[in-house]
Amino acid sequence: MPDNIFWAENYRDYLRLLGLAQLSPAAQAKIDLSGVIQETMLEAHQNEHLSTTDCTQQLPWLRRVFLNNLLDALRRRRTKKRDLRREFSLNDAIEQSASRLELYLQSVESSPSGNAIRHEQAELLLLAISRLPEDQRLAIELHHLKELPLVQIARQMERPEGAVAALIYRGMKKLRTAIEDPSSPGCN
Amino acid sequence: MHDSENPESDTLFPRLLAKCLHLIERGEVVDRDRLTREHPEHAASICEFLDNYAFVGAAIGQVRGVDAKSIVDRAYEMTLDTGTPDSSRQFQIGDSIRYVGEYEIIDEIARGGMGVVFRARQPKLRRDVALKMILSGRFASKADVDRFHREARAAAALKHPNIVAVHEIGEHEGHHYFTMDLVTGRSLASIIGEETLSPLRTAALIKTISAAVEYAHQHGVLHRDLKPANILIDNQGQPHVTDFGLAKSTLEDATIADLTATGQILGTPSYMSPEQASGKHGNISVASDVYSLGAIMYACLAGRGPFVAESVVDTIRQVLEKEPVAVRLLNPRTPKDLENICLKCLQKEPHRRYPTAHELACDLDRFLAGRPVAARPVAASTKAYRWARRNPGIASLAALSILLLVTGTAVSSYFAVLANQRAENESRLRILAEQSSYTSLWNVYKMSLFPMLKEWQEQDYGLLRTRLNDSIPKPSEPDFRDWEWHFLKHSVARRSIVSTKLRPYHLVRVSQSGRYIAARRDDHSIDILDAMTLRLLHTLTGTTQSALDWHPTADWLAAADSTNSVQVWDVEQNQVLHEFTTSDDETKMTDRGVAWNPDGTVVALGGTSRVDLFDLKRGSVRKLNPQYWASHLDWSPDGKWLATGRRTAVCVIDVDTDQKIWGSNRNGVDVEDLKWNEAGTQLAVAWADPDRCIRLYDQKGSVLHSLKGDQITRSIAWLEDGEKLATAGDDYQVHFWDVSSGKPLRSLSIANDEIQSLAVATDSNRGLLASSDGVLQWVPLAQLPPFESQLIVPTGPASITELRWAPTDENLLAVGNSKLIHVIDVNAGKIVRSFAGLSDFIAFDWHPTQRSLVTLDVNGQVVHRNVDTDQVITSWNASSRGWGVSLQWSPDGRQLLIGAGDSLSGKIGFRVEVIDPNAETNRVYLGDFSSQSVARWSPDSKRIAVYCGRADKTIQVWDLQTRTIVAQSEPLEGFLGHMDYSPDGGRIALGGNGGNLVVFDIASGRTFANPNAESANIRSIRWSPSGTRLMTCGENGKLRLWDARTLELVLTQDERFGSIADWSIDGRRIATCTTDGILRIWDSGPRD
Repeated sequence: MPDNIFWAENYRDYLRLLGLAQLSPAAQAKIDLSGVIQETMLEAHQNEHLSTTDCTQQLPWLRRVFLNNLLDALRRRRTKKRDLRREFSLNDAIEQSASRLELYLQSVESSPSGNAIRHEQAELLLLAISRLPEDQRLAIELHHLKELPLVQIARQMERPEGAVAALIYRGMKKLRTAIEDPSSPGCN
Repeated sequence: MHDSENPESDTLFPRLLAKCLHLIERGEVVDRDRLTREHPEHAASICEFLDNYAFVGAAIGQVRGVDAKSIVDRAYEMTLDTGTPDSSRQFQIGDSIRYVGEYEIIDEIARGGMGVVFRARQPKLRRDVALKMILSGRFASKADVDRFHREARAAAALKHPNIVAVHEIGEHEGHHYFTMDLVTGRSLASIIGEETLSPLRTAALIKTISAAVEYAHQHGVLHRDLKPANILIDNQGQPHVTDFGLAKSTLEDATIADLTATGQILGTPSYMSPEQASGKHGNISVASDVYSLGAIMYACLAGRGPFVAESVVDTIRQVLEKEPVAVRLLNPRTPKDLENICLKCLQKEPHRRYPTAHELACDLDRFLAGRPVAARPVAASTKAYRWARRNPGIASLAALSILLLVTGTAVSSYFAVLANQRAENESRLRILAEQSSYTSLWNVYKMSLFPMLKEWQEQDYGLLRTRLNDSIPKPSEPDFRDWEWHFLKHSVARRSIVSTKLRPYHLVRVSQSGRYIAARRDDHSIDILDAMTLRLLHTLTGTTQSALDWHPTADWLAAADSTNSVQVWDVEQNQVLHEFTTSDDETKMTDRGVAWNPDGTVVALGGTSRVDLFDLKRGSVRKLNPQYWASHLDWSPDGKWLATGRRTAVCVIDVDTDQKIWGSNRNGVDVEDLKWNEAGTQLAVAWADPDRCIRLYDQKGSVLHSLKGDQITRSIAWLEDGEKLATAGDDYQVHFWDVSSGKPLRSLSIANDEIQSLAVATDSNRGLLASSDGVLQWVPLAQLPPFESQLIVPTGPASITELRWAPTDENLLAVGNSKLIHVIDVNAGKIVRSFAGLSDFIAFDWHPTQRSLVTLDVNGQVVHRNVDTDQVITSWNASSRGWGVSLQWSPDGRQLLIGAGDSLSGKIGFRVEVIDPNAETNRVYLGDFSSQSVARWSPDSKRIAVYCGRADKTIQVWDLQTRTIVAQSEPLEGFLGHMDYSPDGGRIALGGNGGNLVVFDIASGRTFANPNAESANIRSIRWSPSGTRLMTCGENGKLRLWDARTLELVLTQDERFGSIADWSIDGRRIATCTTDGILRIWDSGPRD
């Protein structure tokens, strides 16, 4: 890792993916995810001792702080008047995302044997996605995590649908290799 | 890589990929065979793409895996055998199995303890079914497989509208499966997870399910694993029981030891009967399913199963050993009868439950029809109370368990702790446990408040007192009690003027002078007590006394002993004035009546079939012949008639003629008490009959009204106006009745045990209650308002907008609006002084050390005046004037903070200045802020917090010396126009529009919010002087208290009692005021 890059910056993409994975599309639209990530980065900055520890401790720390911040952000977004029909579904989405996050956090924090493996795999997947080439990562992110239809992804990426599909194809191929190849590094 | 092998060189390939993605988006399945046929050159790559797609999709599913379903559902899902995490992978859709037998798999519906449930299509019959695939690891042996098939066949024979029908049992590539009706709807578990069901809905639902279960039992099939997750509710709200007879193998031979040894999670045993939980499979019977039905009913009402513990093992232990928490404790709306039905199902011993599901259904039917139910475990009205008294510990344990579930801290604990866990893990767990113990205890306290609040609202002070005592922490536990607890405690104390615990008294009477109380003890001796203090003065010596009555004018007591004599005592002198003995040799009796005639010249003594009249003046004895045994006597007020009562009869006798006026005979029914009203027109008699009637008779003996009580009435008292009757007895309560209509008026619940005797003081304001627990207490008979005192203050043409207790005097407060400011002495309950300004006031504040008020008016005029002398101490002009004002003395009293906009120029939104009143030129100008801002001093007078309501919506903490911002919050949502600095200076609380409640922690810079705190705009927000509670008062008129640490609600007042409020300086009292000037004081009482 180059010295001039702050360690946590390497995980920016990972955090966004983790956030997207945890939020339902309705909740994604209401949460300033990059703001939450920025907040997490600042906290990481303030904890200087982390810069010197190894990556096996950095990542769990970052993940925990991030998820907590995300949870805070979700709680802030809960609309005030639950009886407004207009807001009801959104509230539901946020409540759901929040409760999912809470559970996820708890299971991450205190995962006994069986779950640990699952979380490791999940971690590996998100890290692998975050290390894909930019356009492949974006395509997979939009398709798998934001669950956008292909038409919309194509419009957003300003590419033909076939090209987007090909990006997803190549990205997934790389992902599978990355996850199945045990030699792929857990940290940077 | 060669070009020919690179499929992307072909433009067709991306289009094929896109087509696949479109298909997937639409939820369709890609036909690989057709693909291979039509595009053989790309088939391999596309298949790889599809495989990868499934792989990544599954992996992302894993990341999202912790599902946001309800906790109950999750608990059910935990039944997944986690020992083989990969076994479920075999059923990925679009993967290897698209067909199972003749069924085409559409998608996955659910996963459960036994396997995976798919939605499948049966093309032959053109229908969709649910296909349940049993995990291969489920069956240990061939015998298990056989049993499964046998039972599934039996279940398949069941045809009932509320049982999910099993169609076919089969095997596919080594996996056993069966198909059943596809019920579109939700599981009861997920419904309960969101909200509890109403009692009626619960009863109807369980009745239907019970009928279905009964049907299965009739056909020889036990369910064995009834739980909310196995009840599907269709779109019409009808229940369908699934998995009949099929769950047997899941927990069959597992013992507690097995569970702990393997660390396997095999299911939440919350709904399992004790005989199942203990592994006594031979004892499993119809009653086991009845138990589970009761457990489901419990979950519908309470939102959770009857037993909830940290681990499977602990849950099993509770199922075996503990009584479930009363449903009504968790859901107070539950009718008693329904609770009884539920608890009857949940009896530990199978023979105490309903013998069949049919009988359960019948009892539920009776409940629904409003008829009496068969289940009656304990006298219903006192059950919860007795339960709580018997098991004070369990009540809190129960609350703790609920919270463990609600807060989700129990999620991890579903995983049994493995024996070989590392030491470091254990220590981490211990720390977690300690933290969670603190949180749990807090939760226990918080949860205990809700029933207390309810009892407070229902004015059940007897039960409230018990609960208050139960919520006192043990020495090693943290003490969370605060204002709300003391307030409730004081509410009870106010309703018991003097209380003492001596011994149970059967009869208490107050002397006419009001100085003495005569009380008959268990052993029939008589104690004389000081009526004011309830202090024991002396015990009448001599023979045992059985009856007593005070002389109508003097402090003389007539006491009858068990033989045939009456003594008249001068209580003040403690000596016997007269003693009469009848000559007759009569058998000893302890149950007899004695009564003075109204002019105090004759004492009547009741005996067997006669009444002896002792004439004090003449010293003579006369005999009446009532033909009855007279254990209760009362003279009519004119002294002409004597009412006598005893076992089975009441008789009214004309004393002069010894003629019976009227009599009422009721076989086998005791008279407990009888009393003439003051006019002598009505006689009230308390009968100890099964109907618990108090009957009101007119002078001819016709029944005017029958007043029906819950329990036996022991004592009657007419209240002074003769319009009301007070009765008291075994239901611990005093009931007030309207005599003319015979309707109950209200009840007073303050005693903690059966009331043996009620006596009313001569002024009718107070009642003396003697209860079986030995407590003797004076209680106010009038209905007390929930607040301590009330004062209506003139408002002038404007609404009351500000309320502040004086910092120098805990009895002084100021309340006012733009026109008038009143200084009020709370103890005296009067306005001490009122101020009216030349121009409209816009703010006022007390000086922190002087009895003086500073006011600011619309013209910027600041006036500081003494409230005792009304003299102006200083006066000057502020540089800004107008709207949005903050006016506050620094806590050290040296400087005055003025924050105001300029209404003249309109250019200044909110200017914050600090002025030294002694050197008016010494002004510190802090800055100009947006309009709608608020400013407050920090408690150390060194900082000022400004909330910028219009601009960046942050809280800025300014250091006055350096005039710099030392802390700033993130922007806050909404408008938060009311601010208060915590007493320790560490936090700032804001409340505002939309009921938002925010606390800014200055040191960490973080904000904590409770955005749904209030339903209406908050008008007042105050820290308790201890800094542990926040009080809000809002436009909806409701006063609420919040725990400052968690922002959780701890006290709420549902009526509109005021929209602004303040905490007295000693933290003991809260004053609220409505906009129209009704000032109320809420006292939490003196602290011990």
